[in-house]
Amino acid sequence: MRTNDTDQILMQRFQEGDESAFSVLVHKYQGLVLSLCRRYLGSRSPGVEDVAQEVFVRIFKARMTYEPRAKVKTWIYSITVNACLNEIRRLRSRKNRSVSTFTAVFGAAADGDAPYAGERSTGTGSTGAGPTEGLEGEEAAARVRAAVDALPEQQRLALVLARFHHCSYEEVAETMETSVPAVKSLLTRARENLRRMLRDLVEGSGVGSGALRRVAEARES
Amino acid sequence: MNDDDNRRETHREAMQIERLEPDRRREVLNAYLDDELVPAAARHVTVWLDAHPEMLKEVEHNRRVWDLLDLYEDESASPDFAAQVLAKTVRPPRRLVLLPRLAAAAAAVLVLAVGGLLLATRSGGPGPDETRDVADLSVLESVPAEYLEQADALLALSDDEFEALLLADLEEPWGGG
Repeated sequence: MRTNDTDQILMQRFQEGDESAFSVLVHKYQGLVLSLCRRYLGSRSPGVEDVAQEVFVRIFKARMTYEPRAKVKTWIYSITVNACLNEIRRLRSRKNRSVSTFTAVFGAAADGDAPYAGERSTGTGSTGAGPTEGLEGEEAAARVRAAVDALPEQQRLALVLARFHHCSYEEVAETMETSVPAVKSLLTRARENLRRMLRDLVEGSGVGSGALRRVAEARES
Repeated sequence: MNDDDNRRETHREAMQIERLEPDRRREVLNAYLDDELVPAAARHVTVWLDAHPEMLKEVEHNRRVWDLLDLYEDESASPDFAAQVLAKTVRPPRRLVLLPRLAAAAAAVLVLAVGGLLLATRSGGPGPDETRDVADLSVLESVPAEYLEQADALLALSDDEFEALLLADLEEPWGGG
């Protein structure tokens, strides 16, 4: 089957033995794969680059299993998600890991539905972590990262794919091997949890807006 | 449910947003924010929101949550990331495959030279031709035959011929041996 899709052409060449096509795919997708690993595993997770490299090794080995019906990007994301899940399981099963390290990376109730570490660390509500006036730049960014890291695994993955990788609901569902209604539900709960964890930033008097403006300006330049 | 069914269902729900349960309504409003609604459904939701300021406020808060995620900036890959991946997967260039062969040939030549020198030193000068022949032969026998053949062939080549051989080897197709 012939196609005009650049990625599919690359995959076809790669399947036919042209390893330079694989090199092009690596250069094209390294940023996306790393970004997905980093945000899904959590920004403090060690060994993110190793996992991302493992993703490309799997892509290399599994190239003949790719079928042109699927988008190359979605296929690569699926492999990335599976590699991340393996990493999560590996870290969970390590007998000698310290509870604190695990909690820092995956939260206290990674399988649960409620937000955990981030909510505590971000300190919203009456037990807040102090004044947020003047909270800008790095501090606001750190809180946002902590809040995303604190989301339950599935919510975090759906959010990362939809928000940071601009996947449609269908693409998120395909990557996560779930249904579109399930994706809608995950994204709705992820938004609600983030709103709760970042309430003062969301509903406050524009706290964090300066940092947001600088991000936008940096992108435009 | 396939993709078309999902889109139809989302569209149907959006057009009935006023009658939806709160959970379903929130999902529709998030789909509205995510540009997942077809234009007609999005227009219907916009009109409905104009008449429901409380819900409009909630939508604005959810939009701000999404905007705040811009602060979660990504880091770029390390400069040698792709090189490391390719080193783990793609076969090394033919030049690197050829180098061990050349090294082996050079080693064989060195063994021959050192062997000859030792023989000359031990004999203290030119000895009977028969003795030297036997000693040279024993040294030669200790070197793998393929190395000797390669060494002979390579030493016999001119610079141009050697370069042509190297290029031909590099251009050899994958799996070509």
